[in-house]
Amino acid sequence: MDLVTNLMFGLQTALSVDNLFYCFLGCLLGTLIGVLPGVGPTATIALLLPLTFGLDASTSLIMLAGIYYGAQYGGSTTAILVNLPGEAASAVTAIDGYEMARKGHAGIALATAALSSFIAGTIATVVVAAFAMPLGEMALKFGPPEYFALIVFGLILSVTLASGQLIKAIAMIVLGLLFGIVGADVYTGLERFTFGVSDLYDGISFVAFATGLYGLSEILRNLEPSDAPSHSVRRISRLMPSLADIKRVIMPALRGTGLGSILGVLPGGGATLSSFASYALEKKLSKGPVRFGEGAMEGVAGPEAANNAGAQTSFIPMLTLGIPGNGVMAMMVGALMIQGIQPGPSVMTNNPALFWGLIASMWIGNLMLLILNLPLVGLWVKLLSTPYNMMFPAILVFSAIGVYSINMSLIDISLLSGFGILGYILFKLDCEPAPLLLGFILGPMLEDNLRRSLIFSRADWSALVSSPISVTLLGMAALALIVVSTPGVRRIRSATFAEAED
Amino acid sequence: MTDLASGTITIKKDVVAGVFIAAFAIGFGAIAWNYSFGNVSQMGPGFFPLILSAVLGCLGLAVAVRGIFSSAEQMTFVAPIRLLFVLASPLLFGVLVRPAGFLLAVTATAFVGTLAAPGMRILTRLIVSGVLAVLATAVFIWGLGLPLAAFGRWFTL
Repeated sequence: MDLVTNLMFGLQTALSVDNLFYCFLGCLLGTLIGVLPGVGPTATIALLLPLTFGLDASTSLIMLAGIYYGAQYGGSTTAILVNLPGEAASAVTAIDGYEMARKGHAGIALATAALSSFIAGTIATVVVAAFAMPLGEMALKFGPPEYFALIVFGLILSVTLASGQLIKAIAMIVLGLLFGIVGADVYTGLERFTFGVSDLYDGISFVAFATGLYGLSEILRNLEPSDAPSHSVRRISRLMPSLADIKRVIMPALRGTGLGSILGVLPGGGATLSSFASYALEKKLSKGPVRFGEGAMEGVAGPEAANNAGAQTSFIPMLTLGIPGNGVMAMMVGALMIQGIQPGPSVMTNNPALFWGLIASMWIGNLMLLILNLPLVGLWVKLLSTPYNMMFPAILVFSAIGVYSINMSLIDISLLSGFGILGYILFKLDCEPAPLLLGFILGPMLEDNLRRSLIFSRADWSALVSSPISVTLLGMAALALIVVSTPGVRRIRSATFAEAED
Repeated sequence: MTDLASGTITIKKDVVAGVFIAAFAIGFGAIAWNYSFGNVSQMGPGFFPLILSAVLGCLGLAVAVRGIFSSAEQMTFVAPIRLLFVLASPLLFGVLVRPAGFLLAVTATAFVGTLAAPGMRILTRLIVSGVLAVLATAVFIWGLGLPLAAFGRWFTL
């Protein structure tokens, strides 16, 4: 039983006092930002990244991971109680969850969400552990052409499965790739796009890029003139669901877990897509008296399980292949690189404690979240009244300190402001920041693997499609593009994401 | 209706987006033009960026052309003055942290940040900045040992 041995080994790492503490801290912070609207997990991880320099690599990854899945729990709390999804992934939870709260079943809705998330978290932990090893072993055999194909596949799939306009998303990937290759060329030493600035020799600071794009532009967005709707918090009734309730939600929760586990692995999948897809599925499957949109427990259990499972399994491609599938995973790759670890299949063999410790910590984190969320829910709701005017100066201070502390460079700070406004403009023009970030992270890797493939093959382009693996990957990427562009699929795609707005 | 001061503007979004994207393509492409292109077996440093710029330019053009056939929509932006405060706030930290020291730099960063928020009393702004500065100094300088001085050279004679 390799799986059990490995998980036990991981538990040893995860259960050290340090790691338990930082896992808790991550879950706590995650819940916090999940509850507070206007602060997302990607921005938070970008802000906290500089603080993790001093930590052990596994400890820092454990904490950052806790922030991600913690945010899924926190986001659902506000979705249910005040109809204000703290995270995009919780948007569907608000539909039936808030309806339940209006009918006086807020406590049961919260418990349903938390228990479904916990079930999903437990199962997804095992899924991650089981799939990571074979995938990682396969990836060890990859040469440059296969890696080139894999990156292309990952980038293309990440935009076909995400919401938003396809051409713009692809343009954002390409722009990200260009920003990613700023700096010295590895082969010739030529400084590209640096304008002679020596601070740019090693490339654009990843923390400045991500913090500007997510943190600063989020602030600008929140400062737009708006008539903020006042929200009233629903009273929380009894928490424990009855046995009949549990029977009702167990199947939707399991189906959500399955769906989330699969969609999470795909690039561009992750929490948001999983929850939307699960809601659509439960609605299709429902027979009889269940009325979706009027407070159906199934409409809370399915999506909540799905978003938590999806959040966790999206770690699989990042951990085993070094290819991030969404913005948060791109931050994780950045965190690894800052720690001096080259993300990819070698992480599993060279840093087994980090690898298995992180996976095992996910289950521990989910257990902590169950305790953090149910009894303490009142405290979180109080936090909702924190005025944003107090919060964003603190975010600005954190961003500035974090970005500056890495290289003590004024250039990095200027880049922070620059990417802040760029991110805001792109947001206003309906261009998503996630593909930009993915392209930025993968740019150097893509160029390097392309150049190496062609050097080895002596300029023969067919080398890129010489192995069955690369042909399959590139073929699937092309197929995904074609399928998504067909009118019928385009309608389904936008309908899945529009579900919440109806 | 276009009214920049109140932050409202009516545009064809995709036309602007396409032109914006194409502008980046031209910028990157023009610079990459000067780098050696090499050949396929020995790609020069200009090869990859030039191809990317060309692709980006085409994508930008496609977005813009499609946008011409869309209808203009009204958009609301953050007020320019607030935008300036938000962007200036971290810059101020970078400029001040050496000469004035960490404590003052954070105070200034936070204070300029609060200026972006409407309807706060000046005293509240000062208190928020002061509290943030003390907290940040405690956490980063004394707690985490960031190698920056709490008081800069303005304070040494």
